[in-house]
Amino acid sequence: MQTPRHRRDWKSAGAWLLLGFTAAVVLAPHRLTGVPERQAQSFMPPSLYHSSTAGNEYLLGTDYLGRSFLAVLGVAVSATAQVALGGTAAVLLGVLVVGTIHGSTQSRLLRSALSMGNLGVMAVPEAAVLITIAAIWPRTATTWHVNASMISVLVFFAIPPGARLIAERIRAVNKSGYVTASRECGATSLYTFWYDVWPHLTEDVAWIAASVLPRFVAAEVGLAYLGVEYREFEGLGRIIAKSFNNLIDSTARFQMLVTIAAILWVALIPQVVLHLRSMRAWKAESI
Amino acid sequence: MTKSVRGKLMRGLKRFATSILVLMVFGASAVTLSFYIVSLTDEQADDRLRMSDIPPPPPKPFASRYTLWVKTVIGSGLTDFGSSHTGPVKNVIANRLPVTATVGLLSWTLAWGLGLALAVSLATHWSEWAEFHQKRIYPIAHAVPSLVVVILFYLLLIQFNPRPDHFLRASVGIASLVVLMLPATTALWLNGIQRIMQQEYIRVARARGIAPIAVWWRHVLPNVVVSSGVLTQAVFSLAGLIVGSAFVEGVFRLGGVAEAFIEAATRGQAELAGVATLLYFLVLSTGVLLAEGLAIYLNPDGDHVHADS
Amino acid sequence: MSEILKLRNLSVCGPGSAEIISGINLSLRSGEILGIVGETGSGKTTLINSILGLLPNGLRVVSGSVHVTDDEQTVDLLKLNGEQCRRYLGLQIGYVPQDVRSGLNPLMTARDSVEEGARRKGGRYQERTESALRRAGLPEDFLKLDADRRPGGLSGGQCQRVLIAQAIVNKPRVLLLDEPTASLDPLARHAVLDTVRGLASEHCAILLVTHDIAAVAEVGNFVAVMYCGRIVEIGRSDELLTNPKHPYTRALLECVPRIDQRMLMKAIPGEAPTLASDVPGCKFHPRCAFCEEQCHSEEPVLREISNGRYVACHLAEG
Ligand SMILES: Nc1ncnc2c1ncn2[C@@H]1O[C@H](COP(=O)(O)OP(=O)(O)OP(=O)(O)O)[C@@H](O)[C@H]1O
Ligand SMILES: [Mg+2]
Repeated sequence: MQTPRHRRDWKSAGAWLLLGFTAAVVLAPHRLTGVPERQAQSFMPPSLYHSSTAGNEYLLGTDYLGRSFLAVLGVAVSATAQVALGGTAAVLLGVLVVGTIHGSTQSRLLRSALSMGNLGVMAVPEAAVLITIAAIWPRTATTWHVNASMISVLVFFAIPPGARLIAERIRAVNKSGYVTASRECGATSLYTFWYDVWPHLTEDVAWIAASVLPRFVAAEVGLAYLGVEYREFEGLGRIIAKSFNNLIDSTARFQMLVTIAAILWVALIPQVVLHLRSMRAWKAESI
Repeated sequence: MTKSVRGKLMRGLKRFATSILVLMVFGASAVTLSFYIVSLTDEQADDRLRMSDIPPPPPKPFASRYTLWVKTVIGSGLTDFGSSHTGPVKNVIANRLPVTATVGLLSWTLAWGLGLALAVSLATHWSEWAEFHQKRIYPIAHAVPSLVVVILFYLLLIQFNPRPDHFLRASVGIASLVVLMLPATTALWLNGIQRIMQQEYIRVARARGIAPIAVWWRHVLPNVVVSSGVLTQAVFSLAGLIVGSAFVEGVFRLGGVAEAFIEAATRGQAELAGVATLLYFLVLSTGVLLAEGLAIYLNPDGDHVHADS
Repeated sequence: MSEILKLRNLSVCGPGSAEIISGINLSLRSGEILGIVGETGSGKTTLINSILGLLPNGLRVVSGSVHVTDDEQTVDLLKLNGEQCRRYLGLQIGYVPQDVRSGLNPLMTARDSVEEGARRKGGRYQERTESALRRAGLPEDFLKLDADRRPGGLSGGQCQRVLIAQAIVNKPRVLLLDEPTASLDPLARHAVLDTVRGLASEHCAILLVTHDIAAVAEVGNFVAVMYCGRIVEIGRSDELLTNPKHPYTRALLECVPRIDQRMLMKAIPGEAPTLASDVPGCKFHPRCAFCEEQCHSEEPVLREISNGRYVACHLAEG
């Protein structure tokens, strides 16, 4: 039973539209959703279902500080997505570098060191490291230092599993005849990498991106809940934490659900993109 | 015959001893490291900051604090673990450990057990769903932040019962962790099972009329366990479980060790952090040794089966 | 003697309903050895798999029956469910797979593998295990020293004989052998063929699929030649191998190397079609030296040209 073609077209058009809108919010949240400023009472219900209330012009209501929740959400999506995208890019770079070295080195020592490192990374609870890292900075430390160190920990922990995948792929490709052939024809290693190796890696890289980006979102959200969020950072996690403290209020509950939807959307963006481009290469063995 | 058996035994023992040694070194350094890092934060920094503008004095030096702690722990014959500002560490742990142990072990066992059951059913009866699970459900579930799932379960719980008791909170918390891990465990098991099911010896076993249960028990599962990395993943998923436990303990107000560890880390209670790390490593080591023992029992030759995988 | 295995009009389809074997009729009496020869891809393994009801995913039986007779009754294996089938598989029907290396569970010792099957019949299974290993041509030394090794520590030929021991441990009435001599040296091959002959003399019916035409000549009572999933010629092995009627059989026999003649064998020109349905008429006509007008359009049926000799060729005469 196949979905009719026109319906699929509509669906993918809708998804692209939503993606475009998200991109715009990420790039310019203040333009699109407004500047979060204290303007009204806390937790005013959303105009969606209380349009009759006088003076209620906030689409999603106000948050605990009386700011338009839509503006707060826009800024948070922007902040979370930026960290996640930047972190993912760093991870991909690291994965490619480490993976290529791991995959093409002949040194047994380096190889076993890298696989030991992989096991070590698996055995150490990443969150515990993040929390302690966040806690040891003195209060006088600059925001930038604290946040960069936390994000580096996340990047560091995400590299080994992906690098192993890439290394295996590169080893397989290097074993095949045509790479040797092109080397023997005198191709530079950059040339070989770009034309012979890279095309085999794109699917893996896409997969790694799709599984790493959600980790950044999850880390931000989880840390905020545990009270060790990035400093001076207005992300989706802080909203969740704040609305969790105000669960009695029905507006807060509603806003929490909206936030959860936003978190899921941001976390699933790479998968939506992959799905739309039908570049699916999921492998269960490489969790 | 006896000679080769003895050789195998020696090799197995050697592997085991190496593992124990590595784990001990790893564990000791992890405990030291976490003690060190946490001792860098000042225990009373928060309060002092609130009371005055003068910057807090530097915390107690690590070396003296650490030696004192190790002396206390060893001198008391592992009955005294020092004290943090919430009281003796031993009492804190004794109060909180049962909750964490229950939540962690139950959800871990259920997630991997149910994952196996689900994978077996997907591989046998619901084969049309197997691909759907591997390609759609699992990747999406993998991307969902754990906190979100835990919170959604909590919201669901208070929707039906605004004043849940401790038992109900713990059960729903465990359920949320199981749901969180289930897609991944199922995917891992299923992946291994599908690969083994394609092997010729499974078909030969059927052709010899071996009962289906025996085919699963003697042929499929041992090979899945030995060759697919499920065992390693299962043991190391304990690390991920710590985070999940912390969320569950926080959101469902259960009060466990994971939560206490986070508090210890942010408040500079190095003694508590050290003991929590030690506990984690004990659990992890037990898991690693059990897994190693199982692998040696199933595959005493220790060679790589299925070179193709 | 009575027929033990009887295939009627057996056809198997692959993905896209392409026929892989088509309209196979065979019967096998106790004590008989039927050799099946044919080039690679002609559907020999598929034939055996469909008898066992263990076709790989994507292949399915579309028509026909597989009748097996034991002491009491005759049943159609294809109509039985899995549980009923198990009463025949391994007890009445023994099977040796083609793929030797991966045919044994890598985590089970040779002895355990054989014993697992032997236990099904109960009785003194340990003794039967030992004697099966011996009958499969494994030396006493192996039983003492190597039988408790796992397949990773056995040679290909040893694995092959453990598989044979697995198949014969319960003294089946029918034995399906898929290339049992493929990975053996000449001496071991001889031992295995001896075993096969010995089993036949104990009233076991044997289906011997092989590329080794000399082996069929040595032990086979009957030969069937397969091409493109069809039996193109079948008859007594002494007659068929000395006086082939079908052009394909003739060409196949000319490809057999002979130790006394150091000359290049004639190869059959062209290749077997990958999809039989692509070729109208006789499936062999594009490669046949004697092809005529009729062969392009009409598919020949298997017909009896002399006593017990069947050929599927328009031109064959008795
Ligand atoms: N699982 C499958 N799916 C699709 N086609 C298959 C499958 N298995 C076999 N075939 C096709 O069936 C045909 C017969 O294969 P089979 O293995 O029976 O040949 P064979 O005569 O045993 O060859 P060989 O002598 O090499 O063992 C081949 O053309 C093959 O491509
Ligand atoms: Mg074959």
